[in-house]
This record gives sequence, structure tokens and C-alpha cells, in this order.
Amino acid sequence: MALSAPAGIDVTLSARVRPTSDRRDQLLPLLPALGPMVPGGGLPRGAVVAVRAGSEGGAGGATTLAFSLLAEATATGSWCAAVGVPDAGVLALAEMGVDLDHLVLVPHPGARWMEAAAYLVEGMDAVLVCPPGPVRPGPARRLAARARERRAALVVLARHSPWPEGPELQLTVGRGRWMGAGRGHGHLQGRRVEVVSSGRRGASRPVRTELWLPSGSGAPAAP
Amino acid sequence: MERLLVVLCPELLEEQEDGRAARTFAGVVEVVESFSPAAGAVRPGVCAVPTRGPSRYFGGDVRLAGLVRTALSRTDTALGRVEGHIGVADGLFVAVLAARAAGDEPVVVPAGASARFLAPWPVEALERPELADLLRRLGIRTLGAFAALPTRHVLGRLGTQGSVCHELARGMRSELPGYRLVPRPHPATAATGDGSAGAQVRQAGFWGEAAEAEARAERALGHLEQLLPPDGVAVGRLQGGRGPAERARLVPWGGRRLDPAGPGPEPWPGQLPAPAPASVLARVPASVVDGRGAELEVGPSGLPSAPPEQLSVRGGPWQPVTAWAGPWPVDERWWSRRKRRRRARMQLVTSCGMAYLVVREDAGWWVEGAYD
Repeated sequence: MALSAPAGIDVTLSARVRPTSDRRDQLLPLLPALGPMVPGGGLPRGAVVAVRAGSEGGAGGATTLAFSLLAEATATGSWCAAVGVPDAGVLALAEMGVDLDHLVLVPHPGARWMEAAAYLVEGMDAVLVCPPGPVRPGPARRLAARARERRAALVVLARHSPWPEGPELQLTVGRGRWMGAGRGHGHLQGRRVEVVSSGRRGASRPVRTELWLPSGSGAPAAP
Repeated sequence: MERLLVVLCPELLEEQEDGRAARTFAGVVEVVESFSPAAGAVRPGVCAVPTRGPSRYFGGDVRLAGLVRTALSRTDTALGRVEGHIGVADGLFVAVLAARAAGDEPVVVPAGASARFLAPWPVEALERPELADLLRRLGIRTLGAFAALPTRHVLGRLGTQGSVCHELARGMRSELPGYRLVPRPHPATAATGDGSAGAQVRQAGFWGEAAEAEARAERALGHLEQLLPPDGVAVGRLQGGRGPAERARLVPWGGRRLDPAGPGPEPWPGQLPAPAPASVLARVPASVVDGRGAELEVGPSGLPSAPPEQLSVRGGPWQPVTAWAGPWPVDERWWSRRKRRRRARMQLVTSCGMAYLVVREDAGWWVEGAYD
């Protein structure tokens, strides 16, 4: 796994998000419920955070989690963008706590999604990408390097294929249990999931977080 | 829009060699701070303060401006009596122009009257030389003439930046992103390449940083808009409706201020409660069957023909249904024979933990949303 960082610079996540004199420069704010699953309690600028649904059953929660990672940043005035998620539920985004005016959507970038993302990391604080198919390692590495250089967080919603380069942080949403619906009565009121966060090359021990994703209000919540 | 009072001291825009201007200006900022702790230097020689709080306290913008003027005239500074022009308006851009227009008496632009105030100013006031050149070649010399251009032409021909300036000229936005008075470097610092002028600009404070971040975002999006079709970059808006698709729309990024987010829509009867599906799909065909493998139907009473047992999305594998809610019948435009729509929605949870919002319409089942 090639790291395009100058020799002598430690690029592991724990080094990247170590509290510094000015943490806002390093971390974008997260919804309180999401803090425990990320080292330092914030979305690390300049790092790749990949979100996927657990392999068994392979369903549910990754989209909600990926967008929720941006919610607090947009609400506190940071600029975020989402590339290649044509079916993003705008109402759900608002319920998650996303400030819709600070989340720019590029629903149909087509084959040029990576080019679009490269432009966006130039000016946005965080960019969510959802690759439509397999991603070649070279372009992925270049995009990640650009995001690192511009201090933009790159959130990968790995719906169709994984990110080829090991992300700094991998969030895996386990199988969910829905509450609220029975056999013809009630309505969906929330999904209980376990999210496993792991660092690059096992740099940090996996952390397991129990979570409502979403809760009855639509936002993620601690149990 | 945030109303601001700006004090502009023409003599202090440029630093003297002995730093006297900076010391004098610090005294000016102190005077303004005595009216509100939110006061701050925008750049040397220009100080701004939000008027919301202090104007309420002192009895209006006009009175506040008069009191600041009196306080300044009584202040002894290193340079003696300082010439300070005072302007009050919506947003920093207009407030600075108001201060530039002010003589001895403050100029207060009433809330919402920015467009009228800006109309006679030359297009150069935008401090966008390329845009001003282009407008002059089109025969447009004033901000008023610029404001009169139809919006759709501006968006198409002048790009995001042009459209932002157009909104400003029309009084529909209060800030020029990244707008600040560009400090003219002092001859000495320009010659030595000393970065101290830059350091002073960084004192812009929180709204300066926010404007800078927005300007950075807009620049990136400007590049992106050349790569994609005009509606390829968008922001979401909520609106009234029943289904999750009807309750939101996308507006092109370039036109977002012309189509502002209203106050939150009132709840409609027949809306599904939160949480909404994270993905909203456009009529993806599905099959919902009962225990005997027969397609589920929703009768006129709104009840299903049998409990749903299995779901297949877009011809995919059958997934056992472990829980469901609904159906919720929706009968829209029942008064119109041609436009009447009868639908029934259900939420289905499958054995792998996924949940879907499905809808029965036109004798078929469709997936309308996925809780993914």
C-alpha cells in the first residue's frame, strides 16, 4: 500500500487527529451520537473515511451514516458536497440535521464523477463520493492526495465497490433491527445498528458503537 | 440579512511608516466597541458592528449612527480628530458603500432598500474588474441597469460570479462572497514583499472567514459548472407534499438564491412520520406477494388482500418480509377525473434488516424509497 506522504511523516489516523492547539483545523464537527466511533470525535480533514454496509446480508444504514457524517459540519457553516448519489432523499437529509444550503448535490456526474470530486475537494470542507463501479488505485490515490493537500474530508459511500486504497477510517454498519413496524400496525420508528470503526492496516483497534441509525426523528442517536 | 454599521476612516486606510495609523485606528475600534462588543476591524481603516442588538438598545439605526458619530468626534487620538464616515445597511458590501457615500452625517440605507441605494453606483463598485469590463461593453454602466437584466440571461452568460453580483445588485443577497476591501499595500511593504498586510486582513473575524469559505466553495463550483450541464449542481429544498419524493425538490446551485428556502412547510394530512427513507427512488418496479405467492392487492377499504410475505425489487431475489406497516391509502385530486391518483403506501422490513417504502398504484407495486 503506497502512501504518498513525505518520508518521516506519520500518516496514521491517530497521528492525524491527535488533539492540537487548534482542533478545528484538524476535525470537522460531528453529530454527538457519531463522535464515539471516530478517533478524536470529529471528521478528520484530509483523510478518507469509507462507509459500507456489513457483508453478511449486505443491507442498510450505510447511506444514512455517510450523509450523517456531514450533517453537523453543514449545520455549523462548513461546505460539503455529495457526488453521484442521484437518489439521495432530501427529506431524510433534513431530518438527519443537514443544512440543505450547505450541502451541494451533484447527482449525475456520469463517468466524470472523479473529476467532479477533484474540483470539489478544492473548495469544500468535505466531499462524499459514491463510486458507480470499481475504482482504479491510481486515480483513487490521486484524489485522496488532493483531498489531503486541500484539507478536505473525503467520505466514500461504498455501495457498489470498495475503495481500492485502504481508507484512514473504515466504518462498517452491521445488520439493523427495525423498531415500530409490526404485522400491519405502527410505522418505522428507528433502526438499531452496531457500527464497527477500524483504522488503516489495523493501526487502531476496532471500536464498536451501538446506535439508532436513524432514530425516530430521522437523526442518528445514541441508544 | 445582517445589518451592519461601518465606520470608514479614509486617512487610516494606509499605514504610516511609524505605525501611527494602526494605533489611531485601534482607538476608533475601541470607541465602536463601547456600543457593542461584537465590533471588529474589517481591515485597517474600516470597522464594522452588527446593529441588531445596539440599535434595539439605543433606539434605532439612525440614532445609533448619530451616537457613534458623536462619540468619535469627542475622541482624541494620536492623529488628533479622526475623520470617520458612517454607513448602515444590510450586509458589509452595501454598508461600506453607504459609508463611502456619507459625509459628516451618517448614511442609513433602510432594510430591504439596498437595490434602490445601489442603482446609481457604477458597475466598478462591485470590484470585479473583468465583470465590469464586460458589462460596460454591453452598455451597462450602473448597478441599476445591471439589476434590470433578466436573471436567466445573467445565469447563462455571466456564470456563477456574475449571477451572485446580479443578486447583490437586485438587493436579493447582502454579501459578496469573499468581499472585503482589498488593502492597498503600503509602498514600503509592497517593495519588501513583507506579508504584514496579509496578516492584517486575517483579522477579518468570523464573518470574514465564513465569506472566504463561501467564496472558495463558489470558485470550486464555478469550475464544476463548466464540466457539467447547468442543472448538474444543485441544492435540496423542502416543500409541502405527502410522499418523500413530493416533499423535496432540487434547485440549480446558480439559481438557489432566486428560489430561496421558505419557512418549513406545514405538515400535510396523510404524510408519513419520520424517519424518511434515505434513498428516494423513481418508480422502481417491485413484486409483493402473500403466502400463496399471489400478488398482494389493496382493496377499496384500504386493507391488504393478505399479509405480505415476500418482496422482490426490480426482478431480484425474493426477500422474506418480517414486519410491515400500512397500507396508508392516498386519494389525491379526487375531484378531477383526469388527474385523480389513488395510491397506497406500505413499509416493508425484510429478513436481512433492510426496509422499503413501497406503493401500490396502477395495479402494480413500486419501490418509492429505501431506508438504507
